[in-house]
Amino acid sequence: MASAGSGDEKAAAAAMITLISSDNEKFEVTEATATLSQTIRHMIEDGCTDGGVPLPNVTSKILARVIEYCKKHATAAAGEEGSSSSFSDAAFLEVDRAFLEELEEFDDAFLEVDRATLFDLILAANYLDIKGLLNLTCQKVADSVKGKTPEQIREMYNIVNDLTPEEEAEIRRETQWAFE
Amino acid sequence: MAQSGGGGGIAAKRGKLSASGAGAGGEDLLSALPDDVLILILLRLGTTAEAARTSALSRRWRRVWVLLPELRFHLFPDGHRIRKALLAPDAPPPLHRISVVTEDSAPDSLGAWLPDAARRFSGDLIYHRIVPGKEDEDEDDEEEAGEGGAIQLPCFEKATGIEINLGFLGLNLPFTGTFARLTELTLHRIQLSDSCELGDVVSTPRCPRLQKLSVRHSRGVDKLTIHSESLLEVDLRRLKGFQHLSISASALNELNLLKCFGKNQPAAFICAPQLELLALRDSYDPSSVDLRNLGQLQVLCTNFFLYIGILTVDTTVTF
Repeated sequence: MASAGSGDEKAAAAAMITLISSDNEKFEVTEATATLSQTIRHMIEDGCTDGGVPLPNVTSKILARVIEYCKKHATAAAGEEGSSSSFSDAAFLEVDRAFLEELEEFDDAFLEVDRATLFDLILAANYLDIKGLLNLTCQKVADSVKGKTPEQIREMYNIVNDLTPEEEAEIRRETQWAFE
Repeated sequence: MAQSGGGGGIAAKRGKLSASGAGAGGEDLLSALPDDVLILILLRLGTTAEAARTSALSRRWRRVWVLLPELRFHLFPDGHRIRKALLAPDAPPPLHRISVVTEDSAPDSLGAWLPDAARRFSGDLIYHRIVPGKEDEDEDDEEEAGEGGAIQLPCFEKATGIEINLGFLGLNLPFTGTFARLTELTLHRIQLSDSCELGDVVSTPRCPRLQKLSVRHSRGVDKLTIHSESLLEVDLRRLKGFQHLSISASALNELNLLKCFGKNQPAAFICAPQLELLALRDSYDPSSVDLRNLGQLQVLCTNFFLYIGILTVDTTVTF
């Protein structure tokens, strides 16, 4: 009994991963949460996570948000797996739907951030290779650009038009099909 | 993808990955994103034309849209312009998906972009020509079949999936060439020209990997002779003027025939030792159906009968 207990504890301890932000803050997360990041998943598979995973490109502020996202989505994934074996099909669908709705609400609230944070989240999601988070954040940017003219997009995102008049004319020629 | 900026690898790609650290609200955070992230954003704009318009933003943006692996043209006015998009400068990368929905009805313009697409393309092609007001599946269309010429389909040597709906315009299949990677072919509302031999195109020598063939609501397919080692599923529906079917397919698992034979006195020869499902939904007299030796057949559906069991007889179905 005692040895089985300590075995479980060992397994639980082994399933925790320490992430270290660029400003040296440590975050303890479950392996299930951490492996939403393909980058970290590969590091775990390669056995190089002892002593923590340094993430020199991610600040503690952003890493905390990223972990919040991963925790939520890892829980949802685990909940779906559990429910498929313990509920009838109808109940499973009901639970599934509820999960999806909750996740959607979470995602919407998660995106309520200032622009600088949004771009930091995109960069972190790209670096850590977290597909869901990258899709979510890129979609938000795409939605903000959709239907806008180049002038409007430049203004919105402070893009400096460094094209010479000749270059601009050339681009208009090349992509005239897209402007008609 | 071979653009600067790179993917989600471990290496830091732009030094410090922090936008908020850069401070001022005047910073151009969008342009600072790596190419592959910008491509993800452009892919979410809905259409390729909108993505291409970002080329006018600044030098940074000029060549970003060219890297798109997928092109989408929805109700784009004509095929010549799609061709221009495909001819984007700077040796663009291979395309994994092209989807075109159009109301264009001029065959020369409709087909103008296909040869260029065939060259750059290795993935799924989806091409739908919409005929406004005539999109009802069950409608027995008698209109404009073959009117206004035909589109020449080039040989898409690297395509894995082709789905074409021409709204009853004509389609000429290529006489030569191998669709070496094609696994799924769907032809919908097409008028095949007389000289085209569909069976020749979809048989193993020219379609060695084809698994799924679907031909629906089409004309000009009066005779279909298929010899295939790869086909798993064949679905033929509402083929006007269809008279003769001959399939010899060693791996075929499922065969659906729906309203193909009509009042003709059709003949069908099917040799498919792996066939498990045969669905014949047609207006014929079931008592005249003679089924022999379809190997693994487990389910046979007709309008009138449903047999379940393993039939072990011969290889002909006669009507």
